This record gives sequence, C-alpha cells and structure tokens, in this order.
Amino acid sequence: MTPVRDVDVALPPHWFQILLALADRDLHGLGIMNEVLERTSGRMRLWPAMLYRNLGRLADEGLVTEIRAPRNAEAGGGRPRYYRITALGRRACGAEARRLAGFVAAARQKKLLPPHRAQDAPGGPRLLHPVAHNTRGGGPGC
Amino acid sequence: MSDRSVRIYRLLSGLLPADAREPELEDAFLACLSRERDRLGWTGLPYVWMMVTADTVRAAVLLRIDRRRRQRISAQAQPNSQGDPTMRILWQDVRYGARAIRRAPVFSAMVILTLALAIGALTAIFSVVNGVLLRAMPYSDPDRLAILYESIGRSGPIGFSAPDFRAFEQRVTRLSAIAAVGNRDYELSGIDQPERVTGARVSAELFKVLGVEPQLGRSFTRQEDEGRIPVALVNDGLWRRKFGADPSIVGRAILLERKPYTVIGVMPRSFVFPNRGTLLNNVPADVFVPISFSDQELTGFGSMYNNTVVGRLAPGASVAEASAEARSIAGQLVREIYPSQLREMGLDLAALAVPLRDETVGRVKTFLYVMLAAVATVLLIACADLANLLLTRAAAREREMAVRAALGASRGRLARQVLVEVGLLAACGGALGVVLALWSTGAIVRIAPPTIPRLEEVTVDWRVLAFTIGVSMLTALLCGVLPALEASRKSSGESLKDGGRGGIAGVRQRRAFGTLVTVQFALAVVMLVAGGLLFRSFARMMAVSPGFAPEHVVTLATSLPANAYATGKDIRTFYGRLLDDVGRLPGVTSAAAATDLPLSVRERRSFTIEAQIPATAQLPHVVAHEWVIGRYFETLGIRLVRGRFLSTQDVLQSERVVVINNTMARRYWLDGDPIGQRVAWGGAKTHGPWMRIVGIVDDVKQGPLNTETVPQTYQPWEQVIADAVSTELIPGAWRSMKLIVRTAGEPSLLSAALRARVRDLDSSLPIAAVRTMEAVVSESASPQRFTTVMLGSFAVSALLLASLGIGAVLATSVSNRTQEIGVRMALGAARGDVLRMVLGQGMTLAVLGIAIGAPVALVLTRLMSSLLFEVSPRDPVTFGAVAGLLVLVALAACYVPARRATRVEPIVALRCE
Repeated sequence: MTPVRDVDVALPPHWFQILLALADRDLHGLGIMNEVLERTSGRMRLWPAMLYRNLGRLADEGLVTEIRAPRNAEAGGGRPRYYRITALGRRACGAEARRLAGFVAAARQKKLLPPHRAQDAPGGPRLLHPVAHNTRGGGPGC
Repeated sequence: MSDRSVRIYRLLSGLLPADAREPELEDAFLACLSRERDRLGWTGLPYVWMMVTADTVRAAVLLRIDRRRRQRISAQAQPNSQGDPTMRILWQDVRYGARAIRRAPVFSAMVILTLALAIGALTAIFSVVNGVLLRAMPYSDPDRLAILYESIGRSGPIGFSAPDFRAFEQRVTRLSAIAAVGNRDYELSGIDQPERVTGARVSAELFKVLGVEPQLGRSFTRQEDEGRIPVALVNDGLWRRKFGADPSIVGRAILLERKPYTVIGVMPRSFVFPNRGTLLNNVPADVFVPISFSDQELTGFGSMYNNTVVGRLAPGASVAEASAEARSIAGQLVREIYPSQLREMGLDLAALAVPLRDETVGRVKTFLYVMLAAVATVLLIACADLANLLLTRAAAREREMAVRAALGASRGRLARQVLVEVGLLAACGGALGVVLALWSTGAIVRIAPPTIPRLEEVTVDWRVLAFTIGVSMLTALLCGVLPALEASRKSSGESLKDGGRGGIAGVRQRRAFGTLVTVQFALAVVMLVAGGLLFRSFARMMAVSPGFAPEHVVTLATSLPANAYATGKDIRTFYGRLLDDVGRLPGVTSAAAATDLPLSVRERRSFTIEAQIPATAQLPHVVAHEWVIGRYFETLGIRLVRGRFLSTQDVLQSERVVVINNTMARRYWLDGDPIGQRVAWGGAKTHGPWMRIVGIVDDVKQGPLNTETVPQTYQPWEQVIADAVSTELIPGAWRSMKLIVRTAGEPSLLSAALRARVRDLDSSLPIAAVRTMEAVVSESASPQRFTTVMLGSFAVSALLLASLGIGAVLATSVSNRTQEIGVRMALGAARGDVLRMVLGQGMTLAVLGIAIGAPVALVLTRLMSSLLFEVSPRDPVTFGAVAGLLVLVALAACYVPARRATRVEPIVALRCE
C-alpha cells in the first residue's frame, strides 16, 4: 500500500517545482526539466538521473502517477514515461504554495517587498490552478 | 562528439539499477549538454560531465536505498520476511565513511584531487595505449591482414615494383587477395580554396582485402583500374571539410592535378588508410584513385620499387607460410619473367610478409609501454604519499577506534570501515580522474608527433573506463591497507588511557612511514634515471650537426600539375623564372630548389661504378639521391670537401655529372679518390648513361638527426628534364621541387613575398606553407622531444611527490616526538645534535631508497635502450647525477622539519601531552 503523505509537511524545493510543472498538464522528464529551468530563470537545474529518482519517490509517496505516453510521443530509444499529478499531489503542492505565499505576505508586512499588485506578477495577473480538495482550509500550510 | 558523448553516458548510466536505465535519460543528457555549451562555451563540456557524473553516482546510490526502503516496507507488511544484514552493514559503513569524509573537507579534497590527477594521467596514457595498440584496426578481421615487402640483396625492406606485383597476384596462394598502394600528393582544385591533399593510388582489390565498403557509393572495379578511368573515392574527413558532407558528391567531378575525376564514393568515418607507422607509403589518404599502372611502370623491371602491398591471409594460412611463399615467388620471378640482363646480374630478389598490426604499431610499442609504466610509477608514489597521510590521520583517530572496539566492533569491521572510507575517496578521485582524462587525452593527441599511428582512434571507451575502475580499486587497496590494519589493532585500553596519541602508534607508525618513504625514493630513482637518460639522449641528438647551416633559410614546397605543365620545357620555364624572381627579392642572398629537403630525402637508387674496387664490390650499391637546381650547396651552407659544386654550366648538352657525399666516397673508394670516376644508375650490365663525379661534399642527414647517414648523390635537375619529354614520362618528383632561399635578414619575413612570386607565375597553384629550415630541423626531432618532455614531466612529478612525502613524514615524526626531543634537550643535547638526529633519520630513509632504486633502474632502463641515442642505459653520469639530486632534494625537504625540531622548548615540550 502506498504510504499517504501528510500534505502539511513542507515539500523539498525541487519536489515543489516538479509538481508545479505537472499542475496544468502531463509531462515527460525532459519537459519537466525544461519547464523548471525556464520558470526559475536557470536557478534550478534538474539533472537527468536524480530527476528520475525524484519522480520515482514522488510516485512512491502518491503525489504523481505514471501514465501511458501519448501515441505521438517519441524519445531517443522508445516512448518516454509521462507523469500526471494526483489529487494528493495537488493538495500538497497547493499547501506548499500557500505556505510560501504566507512568507511572501510576511515579507510585505515587514516592508522587505513592495505591496502586491496583480500586474506585477510575471506574465501579468494569473489565476492559481484550482485545488481539488482542501481539507484543512486556507492560510499558509503549516 | 555527440555520438561519443552518448556512448560514454550510456556506460556511466550502467551504474544505475537496471530498471532505472531509461532511453530518455540520453535525451535529457543531450539536452543538458547542448544547453550548457550554449551558456558556457567550451567550459560547458567539463562542467556537464562533472555534474552528470555526480548526478548519476548520487542517483545510483539513492535509487538502491529507495529499493531497500520499498523492500523493507513490504517486508514489514509480511512479518516473516527477512532483510540482508550484510548489505545493511556495508551500507552503514558507506554512510559512516561519507560522514568522515565530510567532517574533514580540506583533507578529503586534497586526497581526491591528488588521486584525480594521478588516476587521470594514467587513464589518459592508457587511452592512447588502448587506441594505438589494443583496439582492433578498423578493417574486417584485421589480424588476418599482412604487409609484403621486397628486398634486393641486403637493401632491407623496399616496396614492390609494378610488374612484380602483377606477377604475385597470379602466383600467390597463401594470401586470398593482395592489393598495391602508393602515396601521392594531389592538387585539389575546382573548389573555393584549392589545396594539396594526400592521395593514394590503390589497386581495385584494396577494399576487398581490407573488408571495408564505402558509406556512400561504391569502390573501384578492376576494369576502371586497368582501363585507367579517372574515378576517385574521398575519405569522410575531406568530404565533410571541403564538400559540406553533401551526399550529391557521388557522381560529381573534382579536379586532381587539374584533371577531372568522377567521385564514385565516400569512405566510412572510421576508415584510415594507409596507416602511419609503416615503412613506406605511410600517410593517411584523403583521396583514393585507381593505381592504373602506366606502361613504363609495368615494364620497369628492376626499378621503381615504390608500392606497398597488403594482403589477406587465405583460410588456415599463417603469416610465416605467406612469408615463405613470398620469398619463393620472388626468386622465381627473376628466373622466369625478368629480362635476361637482370638475370645475368644475379639479382638477389626476395620478399617477406609481416602482420599489418605489428608493422603499423611495432615501432611505437616500446615508447607507449614506457610511458604507461612511468605514469603508473607516479601513481604508486602518489599512493605512498596518501598512505602516509591516511596513516597520520588513522593515528589521530586511534582513540575513536579504541572506543568503537570497546563498544563491540570487531577488528575486521574497523578495518573494513577504513577501507570503505578510502574506497569512497578513491571512487571520487577516479570519477574526477575520468573527467580530467577526457580533457587531457584530447590534448595529448593534439601535441603528439604525427609519427605515432592510429591517434585518430584514441578515445575513452569501455575498456578505458573498466581500467579506471580497476585502477581506482587497486589505489584504494594500496592507500588503505596500512591505515586499515593500523585501525584494526585493538589497543586494550592503552589508547584510551594515554589520550590516543604517540606511544603505541609511535614505533609501528614510524616503521610504516619509513617503509613508504623508502619505496617512494626507490621509485623516484627509476623515474629520474629514465628521464635523465632520455634528456641526455635528446641533447646528444640535437648536438649532432645536420651537415648544413639552417639559420636564415626558408623553404616553400611547390608542385606543378601534369595537365597544366605538359612538357619538360614548361616545367623548366616555371622553375627557371621562379628562381630568377626570388633571387631578386630584397635580402635574398641565394636561391635553389631540390626534389627533397635535408632530413627527409626519400629517393633511393641502385647504381654501378665503372672502375669498381674489388674490396667494395660486395657492398649493396644503393644511395639516397636528390636532383637540385641553382646554388643548392651554397644556399644550404654545405661544405665542399674536394672538387667542385654543381653549376649552371651543367646542362643537358654537357657531360653528365654528379656530386657525392663523404660517406659514399669513403665507403666505395676507401682511401682512393672518386673525383673523375664514373657511376651510372642500374646494374653493371643494365645501367643508364655514365655520370662523372665532380665533387665531394660534407655529409648531410637524410633522416632525423639520430639516424645513420647513408651514401648520397646529387644530380643537376637540368640534365634530367629534356625539353620535349611528355608529361606521362615525368615522375611527380621532378615536378614537385622544394624552393630553398637564404636571406640576410629574418627568414620568416620573406614568407609573403615568396608566395606572391609563386602566385604571379601561376595564380591557381595552391599556396603552400613557408617554413624556416630551423623549424624543419626542430620538427624532425619532434618524436624524441615528445618522449623526453612526457617522461621528464612524470619524473619531475615523481621527484616532487617523493620530496613531499619525506618532508611530511619527518614533520609528523618531529611532531610526535616533541616530548622525546624536549627530554633530550633538557638532558643536555645541543640544538645541533637534534638537527643532526632528525636529518639523519630522514637521510637514512632517502639513501636507503636510492640504494634500492639504483639496481632496479639498472635492470629496467635496459628495456628502453631503443629510445636512446648514443647514451648507454647504464650511463654512470646519469645515475650519479640522479643520486646526487635526490640527496640534495631530500636534504632540502628534511631541513624544514629538522629546524623546527631544534626550536622545541624543553619546558613546553615536557609539559604538553
């Protein structure tokens, strides 16, 4: 039986980024690598072997699941593995995002950051992806 | 580069568990490689390899932990299942070792870096040995290939003449097929930048013999060869470099010597032929054309022994059988098909076969194995240094080990933990060493002299990686066995009582240290003697006079295509005007041209003497030969011994004359005077026109400075090229003259002016590089220089490591004996006595090491005698100098800790624990 992760335990930063990449679509390993690299402006580089190890651990924890590759998908030696975020993964990622948002709010309160404006977000105002379940309610995940 | 990188990555990902080796890992790796190269440029490659290596090793370890965790979880769900205690304990040791390494980051980094440098150097040299000596040659079943040579009397191996080759084709049975090959340069034009390329004239069977087919198109047919059809094959490198890897090159025409040839195919990327290293025709070709022997070649019995023959052994035949058959056939040819005049001469024609691989790499085997042994010795010395360091650290951790033993750890467990820790350090050092080797292998291949064959096949492959893993494990064992034994000795509470320092460890430790230092010095003696012998050999070689004055002389190679220079008159006009134009350039004092330059005279001819002295009649009558134009001897500063130089009066209509060298005069006329005597090309009964000897000049080296000078003749080029002789009959040598110019000023400044003069006469001629004769002399010594520099670097590294070793050991000893020294001084010992005591301890070890190393060096240096020139492998000067140097270095290394010992304050020393 897959052990169920407590969504309130903080996620390691690279797990958070992987789940964020899968939040709106299914991806294979190379796609996850590229999206994380782009989103973090090159600050987080996921190298191949550890990426696949982390995807394995995320699957063990029930946060992602492996799915069949689309028919037209091809990699060097065959069809690549595709991954999809699970409901538990969404909750854990959402909880982590709220926790980080809480830190950002605290930084704004202490005037380390300017007050928030919607048009300041990269790419303009964005809608956060809706979370399927939230058994604990809102607020920073802690 | 991508294919090679993927292959190496595939090998690396073999560390991962089988279920984790996904094909898309390679895609991800290639994406990382491309990204980092774009970001970082040339430094991206080593950065990626470093990160990918660390990533893979880390993932390999963690994936296995994950698997254990899953097994444990499922075992907990099934209460009766059992785990693997051995693996669990080993894993604990690995974690413990990793923690110990992290606790001492500076020490660990130093050890890893030292190991990386030593293992990396050894891996780099091994990859050269692997590529040159161990990898199979890029032909089908290469061990069944042989090279055939002919010989006449005691001439030594020479090539095959065209009629002999055709006759062998009909008669040979121990070889299933044979092919002839001859190198020839071509002007490649009709493209953006015309250039000279190396070509090979080959018979149609060559590719069948080698078992290689073109990657595009097809190879020659016999009809094209015998029908003299102008078709060509290009090699992969030329195809990519000059034709952009365009597949439509098949069927396209290219101009070789301004004659159109149709390209019918492109050879595979890995194909290289002929190979460097063979005696003749040893320059890898860019283009291949059918050999299409001319009528003159096919009737040239007894001359033009220029072709290399390569054959494939028939099933079940051996090289010895093929060699015996070749000898027999050669004897038959003289009796059965040679003209009667040659038969009556008693021409002693023979032939032999040698394995292709031996012929290609045999001459560099000794050199490569000496390099490998040298760098392995440096690694051994480094291991001794590290073992000393680890022993010191083991002594410092004695209390920790004693506590663990008291808590129940067995001796084996303690020893294993130390070995695992050293193993981790060695693994990291080995991994980093592979990255260093990847870089340094490329550097070695770039600076290695072109005489080393198969350099293009040097790469880091599975055999090299397996070697690195083996070396890393052996290194771990060598470095770790003494510290492991030390750690495993139960000290029954004595270590716990005395605070874990000095004392028990003292005597044992000193003995271990002393042994290691002695071994280091013994190895350093061997390395320094080898390096010293090579250095003396190289110095002796460079002191040999080449026989001419290379200063202020430049040379420029030219070659006139037969199509554009159809007659002797055309060639004579070109070179005549060129020499006139060049002679009028500012600063030029003298100009000439010749078919070959000193240090690379290739032409060999047989000759006969009109008034032969009986005493020298049995000697082989073969000379090196050059044709020269202009003031050749004056331009090169060659001294006249007797008689006169060749002059402008020696023309076609005047008496044929020749100048000989001192060696020829002494060898064939002994004490007599050859001036005025006559010689001719060919045998006694079949010779050409007589030529009168008008002068004797000083010997000039025809090969590298360390080769023997052979008899040589010089003939005026004017007396050979008749005006109306057609292109077909003028061999390439007479159309490929080397311009030689002496200048009063800086020779390299003439370069542009010389090229401009050539362009003025023919703007389509490819521009050749202008070289100074000093550069020519220097390049001729590049193989010996390379050997000396490489081995010299290893010897210096050995000396540095050995001196570091003895200094570190003595420093540790002084530190451990602080109390003892304090007691001695308190009891009245002077500082001088302490200095002498410590120095004496160090010097005893050094002298013992030298005494052991010297006889070992005496034995081992005999193996490198083929690399030495005029220096005995037992040269006493070298041995004495090395011993003296090591004594001085040991003194210097020991002095610092010895001085520190004299500064010990007795009161402080007696108080401290």
